[in-house]
Amino acid sequence: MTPVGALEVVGLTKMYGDLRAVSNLSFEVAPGEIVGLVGPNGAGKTTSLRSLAGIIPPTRGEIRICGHDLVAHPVAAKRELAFLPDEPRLFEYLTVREHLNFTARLYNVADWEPRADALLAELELTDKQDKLPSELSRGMKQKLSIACGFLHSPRLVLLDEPLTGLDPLGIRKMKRSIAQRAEDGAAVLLSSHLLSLVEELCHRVLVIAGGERVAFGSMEEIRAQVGAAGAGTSLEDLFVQITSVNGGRGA
Amino acid sequence: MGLWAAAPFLITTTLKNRVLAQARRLKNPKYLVATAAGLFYVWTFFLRRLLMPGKREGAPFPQEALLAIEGLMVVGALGIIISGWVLGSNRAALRYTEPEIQFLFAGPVSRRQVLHFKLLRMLLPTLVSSVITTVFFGRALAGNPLFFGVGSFLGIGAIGLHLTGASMTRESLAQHGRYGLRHRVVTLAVIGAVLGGLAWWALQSRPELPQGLQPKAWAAYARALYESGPLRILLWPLRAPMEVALAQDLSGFLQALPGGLLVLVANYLWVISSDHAFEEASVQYSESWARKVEAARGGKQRPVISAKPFGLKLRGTGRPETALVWKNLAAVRRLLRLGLVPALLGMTGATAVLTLSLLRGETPDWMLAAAALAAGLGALVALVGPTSMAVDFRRDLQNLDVLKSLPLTGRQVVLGELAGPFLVVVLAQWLLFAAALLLALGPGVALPLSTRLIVTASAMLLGPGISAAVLVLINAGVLLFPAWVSNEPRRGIEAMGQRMLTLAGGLVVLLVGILPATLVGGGVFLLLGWLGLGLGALLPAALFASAVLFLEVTVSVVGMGRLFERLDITE
Repeated sequence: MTPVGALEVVGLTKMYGDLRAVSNLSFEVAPGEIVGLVGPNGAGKTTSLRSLAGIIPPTRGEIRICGHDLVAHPVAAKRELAFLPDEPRLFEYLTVREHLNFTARLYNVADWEPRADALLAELELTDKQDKLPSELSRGMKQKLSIACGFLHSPRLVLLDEPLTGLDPLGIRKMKRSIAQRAEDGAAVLLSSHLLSLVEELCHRVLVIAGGERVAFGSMEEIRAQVGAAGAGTSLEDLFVQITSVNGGRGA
Repeated sequence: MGLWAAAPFLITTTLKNRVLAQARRLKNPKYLVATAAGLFYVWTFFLRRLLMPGKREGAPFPQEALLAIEGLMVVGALGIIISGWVLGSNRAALRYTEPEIQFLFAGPVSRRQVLHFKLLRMLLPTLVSSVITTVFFGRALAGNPLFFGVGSFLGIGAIGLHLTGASMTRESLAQHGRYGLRHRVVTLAVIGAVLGGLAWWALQSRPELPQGLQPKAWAAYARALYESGPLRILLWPLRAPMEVALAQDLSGFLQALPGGLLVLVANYLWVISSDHAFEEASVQYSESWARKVEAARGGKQRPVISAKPFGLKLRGTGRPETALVWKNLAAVRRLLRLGLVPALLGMTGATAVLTLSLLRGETPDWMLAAAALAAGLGALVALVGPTSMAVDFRRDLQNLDVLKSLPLTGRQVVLGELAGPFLVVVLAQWLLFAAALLLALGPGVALPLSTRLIVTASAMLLGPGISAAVLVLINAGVLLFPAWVSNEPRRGIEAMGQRMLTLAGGLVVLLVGILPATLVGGGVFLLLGWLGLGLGALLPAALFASAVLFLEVTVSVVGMGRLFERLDITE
């Protein structure tokens, strides 16, 4: 029996009128794997992530999350994932702890309180748990969003620029946290312009431009695909090479 | 020099781009219809009036009437100015947009130029206001609408500049520790002294006060005071622009114009010459304005939220849509300035105690009046409560993407979002109806007890149905036309048309939706009445009507759930 991938995407296409934001995108993420999603501005990264999170309906294509078809069985699929957008979206009238309580009920987390305590401690939010989002800094809001995302131990984590607004210590903790989730078996798709972060954390990298996949694989595989000289070529160099060679269009 | 070249470019380009962006949106039929409705409104209420023949027909306006109108306008302007000085905030009220702050405050531009730019920009909306007042009043009051337009511009502009100058002065004094409550009292004392001096002068110069309530005699007395002595001099800065606006011929206009211009220019120079640093206050003001705009994008203009204890804890397991209900109840708890539900509960409890203590004697009239008031309020809450209780999709408009990502079906999300405000509105109306019944429970009431009980029970049955229908209607509008329902401050003809269509469409749908319930309820009432049940038929009629409304609501919730699942928030 073929093992079920945490995320399988086949021919994902998203159109806005005549504009093709994402075109025929296919890839997969295995449990325990961290895949980096990179591309120039306007490449379709956020649109792809929002489609994968079930926020915007794809025009065409198939998305399977832990074996559940996102279009046919959205509730079962969404139960398995956490989507953390670049701009934390919080309810202005719920406190930090109430956000976790709210999330727990949505995802049916019986033992939410010890989990919430652990997450609040890990993200240094324990003393802020009775505060409203308007009383939090940008970085703290981001941490709260992360805590809500991790509360139900999702099997797939979609991260859009997860380090925005975090201080250096927060960045280090966040990197450790993402790696730990992957070690525990969660699949992670991480979109970021911080290529050093992607290179450091990700097992494979998906490069998109103009809404199309232009490279996908481990660093070695991508180096081989583009014929980059030397094993030490950085992702940044590869990125520049791929996106300039392809003029923003697929290879 | 740079800003003088850049400012007209900024203003004209902003205007041009706004018009072009709106024109491009006309490709979408939704916006085309809204623009057509807006244009129809503008034509009917504004342009048609403007394009009518210029000079009014008939006899010229009587001099006494003109003077009275001028006097009223002067009193109004004086009230605005005094309240601006006494009650206004100690923060300079110059509102720069955030891009203006980024580009102008940090740019190679002198602070005086920045101030000139803002003051001149402030005069643009003044121009629009003066055109609107001219359309409505200018034709009737002035010899020529143009005179009224120029006078309105001078008057409104001078008041706006004066209030800006007042706020800057107050802030300057406050920053130097010289303007607190004590100085407000001093300001009031100065105003009081001036008024006292004027009263003394009035009694000295015209000791014969009119006797009794004779309007004509009092008007003549006021006119005599208004046109002579120190009052004439003191009020001249307010009168000068009004005289321009109310000029009856060209020569009168030309005579009054220099005075009106002088008042405007003097106020402008006063603000410009103010040595006060306005930048910090402007930055704070603009940031708070930007936050309000951002907040308004998700719902109604909202009050400040405080982390009041909610007290209701949610179990981690159970029906997941309950989480949305709980979330919205927390919002109600924190958004209401007054604890509405505790207040209503307290009121009903107090009413019960009061009624029981008074039951021994006749029910006093004031209790019956209070009962009628409570019943009326209950009906009002049933009908209007869902509109005011905007803690549903209206408030979560900016979080639609969050709601879309939740592991819930569309129907669950819709139910969860609507149940919170529904529960609060129903609880409020039931408490009010119960209070009305309790207040009218004693002896000596004209209506028999059975009638009072039947009417109250019927209202309690029908009210929730109506509230649910209104709530569904409003939220269906949000899901169908999110961009239209958004409460982000919007201007322009298209936005005006959208508001008109939303209101008219909502009313039509509500009437059509309530029609089947009315027919069923009315039919049941007539049938059972014919069978001899009398007023007792009201109760089953209300029950059936409410059942029909809830059936419609159920069908609508299912439809809205599908709509929510298909909703593409990026479109």
